[in-house]
Amino acid sequence: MVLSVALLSACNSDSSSTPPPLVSETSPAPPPELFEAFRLARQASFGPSTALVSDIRRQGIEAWVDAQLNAPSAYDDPSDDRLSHLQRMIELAVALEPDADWYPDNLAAAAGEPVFSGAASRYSLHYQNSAWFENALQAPDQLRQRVAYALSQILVVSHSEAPLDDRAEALAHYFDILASHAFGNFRELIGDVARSPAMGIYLSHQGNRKADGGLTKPDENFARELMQLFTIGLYQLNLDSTPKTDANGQLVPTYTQDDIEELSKVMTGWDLQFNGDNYGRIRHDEGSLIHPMEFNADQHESEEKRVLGQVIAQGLAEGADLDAALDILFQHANTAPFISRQLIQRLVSSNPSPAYVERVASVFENNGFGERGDLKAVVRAILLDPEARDENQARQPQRGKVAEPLLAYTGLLRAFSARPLDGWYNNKVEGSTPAVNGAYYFRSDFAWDLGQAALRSPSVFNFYSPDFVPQDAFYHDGADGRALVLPELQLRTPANIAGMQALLQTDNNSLLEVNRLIAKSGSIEQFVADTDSWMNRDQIVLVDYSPMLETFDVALDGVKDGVYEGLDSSDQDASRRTARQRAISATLATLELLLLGNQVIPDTERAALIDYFDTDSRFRWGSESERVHKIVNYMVQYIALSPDYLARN
Amino acid sequence: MTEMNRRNFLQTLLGGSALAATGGVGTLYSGLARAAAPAFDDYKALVIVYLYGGNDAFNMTVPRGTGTSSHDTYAASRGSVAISDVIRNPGRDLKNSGNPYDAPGLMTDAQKYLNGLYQFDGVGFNALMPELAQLYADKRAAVVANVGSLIQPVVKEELHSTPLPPFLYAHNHQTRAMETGWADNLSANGWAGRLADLWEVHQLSGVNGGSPLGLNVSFSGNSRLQTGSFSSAAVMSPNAQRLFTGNFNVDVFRSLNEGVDGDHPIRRVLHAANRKTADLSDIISEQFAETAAAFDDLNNSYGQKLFSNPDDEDATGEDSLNLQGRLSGQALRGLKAVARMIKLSTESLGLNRQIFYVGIGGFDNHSALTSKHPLLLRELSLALSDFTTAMDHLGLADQVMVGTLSDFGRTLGNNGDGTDHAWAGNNILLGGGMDGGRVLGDWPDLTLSGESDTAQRNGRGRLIPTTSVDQYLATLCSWFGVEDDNMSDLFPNLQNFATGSDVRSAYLALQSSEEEPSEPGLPLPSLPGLG
Repeated sequence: MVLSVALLSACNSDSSSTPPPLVSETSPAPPPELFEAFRLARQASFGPSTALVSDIRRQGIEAWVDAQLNAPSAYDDPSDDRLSHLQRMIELAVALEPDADWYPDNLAAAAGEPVFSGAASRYSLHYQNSAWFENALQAPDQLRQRVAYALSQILVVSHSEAPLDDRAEALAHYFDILASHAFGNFRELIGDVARSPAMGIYLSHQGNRKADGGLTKPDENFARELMQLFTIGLYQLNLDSTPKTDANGQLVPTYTQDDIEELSKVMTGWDLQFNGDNYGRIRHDEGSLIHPMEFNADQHESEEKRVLGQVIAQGLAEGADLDAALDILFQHANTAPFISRQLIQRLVSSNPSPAYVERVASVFENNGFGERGDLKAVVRAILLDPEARDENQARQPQRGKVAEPLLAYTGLLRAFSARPLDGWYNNKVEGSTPAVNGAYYFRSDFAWDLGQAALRSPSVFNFYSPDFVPQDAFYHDGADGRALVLPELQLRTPANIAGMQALLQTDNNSLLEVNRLIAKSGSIEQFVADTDSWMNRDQIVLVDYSPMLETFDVALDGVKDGVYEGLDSSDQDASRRTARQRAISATLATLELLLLGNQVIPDTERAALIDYFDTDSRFRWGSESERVHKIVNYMVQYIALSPDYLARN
Repeated sequence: MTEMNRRNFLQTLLGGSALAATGGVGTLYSGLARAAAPAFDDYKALVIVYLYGGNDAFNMTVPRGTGTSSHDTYAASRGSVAISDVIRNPGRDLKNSGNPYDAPGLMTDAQKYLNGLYQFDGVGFNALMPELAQLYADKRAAVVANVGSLIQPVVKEELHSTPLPPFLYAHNHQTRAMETGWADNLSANGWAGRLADLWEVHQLSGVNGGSPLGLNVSFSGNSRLQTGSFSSAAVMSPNAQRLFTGNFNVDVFRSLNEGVDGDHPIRRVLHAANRKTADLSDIISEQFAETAAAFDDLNNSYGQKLFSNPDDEDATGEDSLNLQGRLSGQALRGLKAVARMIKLSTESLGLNRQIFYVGIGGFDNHSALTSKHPLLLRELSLALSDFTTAMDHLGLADQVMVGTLSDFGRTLGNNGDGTDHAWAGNNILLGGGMDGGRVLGDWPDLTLSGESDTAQRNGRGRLIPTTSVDQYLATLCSWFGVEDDNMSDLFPNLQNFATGSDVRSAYLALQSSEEEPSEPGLPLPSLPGLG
């Protein structure tokens, strides 16, 4: 307990030394309790680091949210030192493979505008995934990145569609579109999404042609999913996202097959830049995947279209009928509740009350200044709503959500002060490659272990079904005639549960823990010098278990010196505990602080864990230092897989 | 609840509630049909191979019917994506005879894909599926023609006056219809999950004696198809050799997840997921791992190790497939895992009934159909053939039946280089001791805007099903041992396809009624030059 008390008081002293908020016409809200800050950090970031929790407590809930919503980002000024996903991916690629042909000799180069192509290396997806993780783990604009990630689960693209499977720059470029509009306007967001090479390739409107007068008709793929998944959904909704029904109690469809066929005509004439005269061609070494698609009038169906009862005039100028169609969808009454509810589900709660959805959807419809689709206002409304903030409401049995594997994992890394390992290099290319500093490495197929990685969903329907009903009467029976859902629970499969355990192993250096490396190799630098195989690793990231190790040390013998005196002593203190039992208990408390926001695990589970680490033979051999490391290593694993950590409410 | 009351209850739900299509009503069966679980003393397995994205099934098994179901009509409607009606010689001895789809002069995968098929009476198999064609010739495989999701039979003239499944052509909802077995209730449990409930698989006294594997095993994630009120699938990775690494103590993990009364419901379901993982860990980490090499002494059609991906570099460095693209290996990995689990379940675990779910992605080919689909078909043929070889080796070929499913069929007409979402498609049925070598069900009118096309004019070839997916699945379930009386619990609309009250009249016939004077394995004529 020693260290946890110290950390808590540190937080308190931080908040007391902070000047009152600038805006304080009314009496300032008291600083949030630790767990209130912790809850917000879970909803609005990639996980509560101690620094972030302190920051929220110092600023207060609302002030922190507003600060995040108004913070500078990589998208303000392309020349500043804040890097976009694409900029950072290219930087990593060039640093790790300086000799690769990243700017191929193609039509773009011939036009004097060489364009980066990830096809030069089979590691490109890894570089893009690593850049994504770097943002998740350490970007200061956490809320923007987290909202972009939420949007990536609504406006889905995936690496699975060639050539996105090696030209990963398209994915970085796409995530940048989401991040740049995360606090912008939804209409502008879908405008850029519709023109993005990643979406064009993924849903195949890139290179889509007008009807040829014979058998061939325009591709309907994007037209359908744009309506079904990205804007209005399948059936008409009330503002609170409950479905409307007709006189017979039936759902009312939002569109017909005719609407899809008409909209598919709008989605013709778009192709990659620098594709020359080869309209619609997809090749690994041609065309830009990091510029908006361009319009080709001669491939475009220019006749009048009728979409959802509205007319899009014949022969509009370049791209104007795409914009007209997006306007129709953006203005549709479904879009506000359809998008608002999904954003709530991704950030806060799987089963928001209709009233909560309606409050947020109302802000989507009008931000208070007459603007529709202002995502900054929508995100603010989601996070500051009583249903997200109020302890009693958040604890209702139908509220809350299950942590998805990827966020569970980033949360662990952030809680353990993840930082890059300096000095690794690409051992898979010929000749000597320079070592890199300040860079993470997360393989793209990381998802094999977790069951999830950003921009890598198995289909356009995201990682989980929005109506996944757990096998439990509470959820089946539901409320108001509707089942309750826990979409993220669909990913709690044996393979994924055990997969995360494997990723967290520090014993075999799957996860690189600094104290462990120092104990084994003498220093981190020596570990790096002794290691020559890097690129097959799932991950290259350092974590720091010092808080647990120091707690253990102090609780054991009262001195923080890395010497574990009394580990095997059978002497009991006044409460009849050995030093070892006391140390295990205190270490558990430190994990409760770091991973659970100081919520405690139930007594029975706590007692079982203490007994296990105290008595099991697995923790009885090796040097004292090794044994303590092993205890902490496995303690992290049991907590990380526990409902205490994974239930988010 | 009596049988009659139950039917009334269902009718109320079907007709009366919009919410039934979107939420709630998941526990419909929890209080129903609680007759004692059947006591099986034999083993049978159903293997559902789900082709994600909507298989372009009319290019997998090509109609060769008469009149408007002829190949000529097919070709006219398909345009540039039609498979030519040129014969290819099926045969397993590919190593010696060369790839039969690889006729001289064919360079690209698209050319190989489009250039021909294996001809049979009434149907042709794409040339990229020689092994499957051989299984059809051997009467071990059948084609289920023009099957799709339906509430009741419908013809074009009555399309607008007949209840149709909601959200036709939408991937997720049509997938859901395949899963619920109930085209107009997309929020119900899965049909295989309901069967697990019915057979009380969650009880020690139920089918499979309370094994943690239950009835349903998935190698492709959690699917609604296998989710019931009392049990869900054992979900594993086909690659998993073991669950948990290092010194992780599964018994401690299990005891930590026993849960307590009064747990928050989110905690409760997370505890349950962890307990299930712990229970499976014992089976996976020890016994399943031991079956890894169980089929390594057997050969695929290239003479390579069974279930190996011919695209994986072999010692000779030879390109066995002679295709430009590469096989993903999904189907091979998935069906290998199923074969291993069947071996374990029959030889060590003493299970009686299993339903396996294997998903294969990549079928939503709005574009590049002719370069992507050939690879999918090639692998499907190899994987089904390898799986059959494995079942022959175990002596279980007649006790294991494989059926494909997909979201929907695709438009007959094309969009330039791909095809779009449609309705009816074809499926493959394999094994189980049935009389194969037949087309089950009827081909549609293949004319664009014709009698089977949903559209009156400018039709894209969205074909109205002539067989309901419920009929197809009920046929599988009947073979599997589901009583006729229970069939309406699994497929509530099935009765709409029956003649009179006899539910069996809705099934497809797995055994041919007349004795056909055919010899199994009769080789088909080969064209000169194709060797």
